[in-house]
Amino acid sequence: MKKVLLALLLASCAGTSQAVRENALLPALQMAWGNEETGVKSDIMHGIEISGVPDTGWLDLMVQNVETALFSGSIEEMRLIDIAILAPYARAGIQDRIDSGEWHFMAAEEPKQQLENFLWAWGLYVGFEAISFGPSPGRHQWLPRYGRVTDEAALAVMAQ
Amino acid sequence: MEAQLKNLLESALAETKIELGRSTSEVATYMAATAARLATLIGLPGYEDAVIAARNNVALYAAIKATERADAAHERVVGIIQGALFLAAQQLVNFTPPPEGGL
Repeated sequence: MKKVLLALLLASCAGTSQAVRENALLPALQMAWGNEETGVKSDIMHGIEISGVPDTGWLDLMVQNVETALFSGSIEEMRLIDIAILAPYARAGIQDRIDSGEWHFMAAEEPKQQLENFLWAWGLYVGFEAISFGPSPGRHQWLPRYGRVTDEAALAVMAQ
Repeated sequence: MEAQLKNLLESALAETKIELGRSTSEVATYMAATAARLATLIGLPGYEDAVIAARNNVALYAAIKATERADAAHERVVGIIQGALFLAAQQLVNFTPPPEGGL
């Protein structure tokens, strides 16, 4: 009897946590992802467009995979995607919009923050251990800080 | 302008069906800071995109807070259960069966 109660209690706790993920985190992620015109997707696509990468087919496919997984809400599918690979393209896309005068640098702070929040929320949704960033010293600083390191490495590869 | 912004942010929260619970004041503070920041951006290039991103930021922030709260509550309860199980296990280890015919 005690074992049954324990199992029920654990299941109900896990259910609460999962319900918040599905009812709050996932819709917020989907909204921030946006479309070709606005949101994180737009920033990534713009970054890919200006990257100078000769064949962007695999990157376009990855964007499509992110969208499919995100709107299916499947944690398993989302875990298969290393979102950190796309983050530097989003940052490059935002920077290009600042450089071209499309966005004032102060106005660009919101899209920048949106990207960091999106990455943080993505990690929270799928579980941090599933992201191939390596060990985390502290998850609150971890994603943005590591993201910048990843940016430098990725942009260096892009420039070659 | 402020009323429009408030409506925009409130509709974002309603869209995502976020259960804020104890996080409400934190999110309200975040919203107020965001609104104040946006007010300084009016007329600048990219303002409209900044407003949409700000709306999304509030939704993401609220959702992150709500999830972390749920996770923390979950971990706390699991911790209590684990503690109780550990104590029960200790008691079992220390348990000496009564002599036959006892009890």
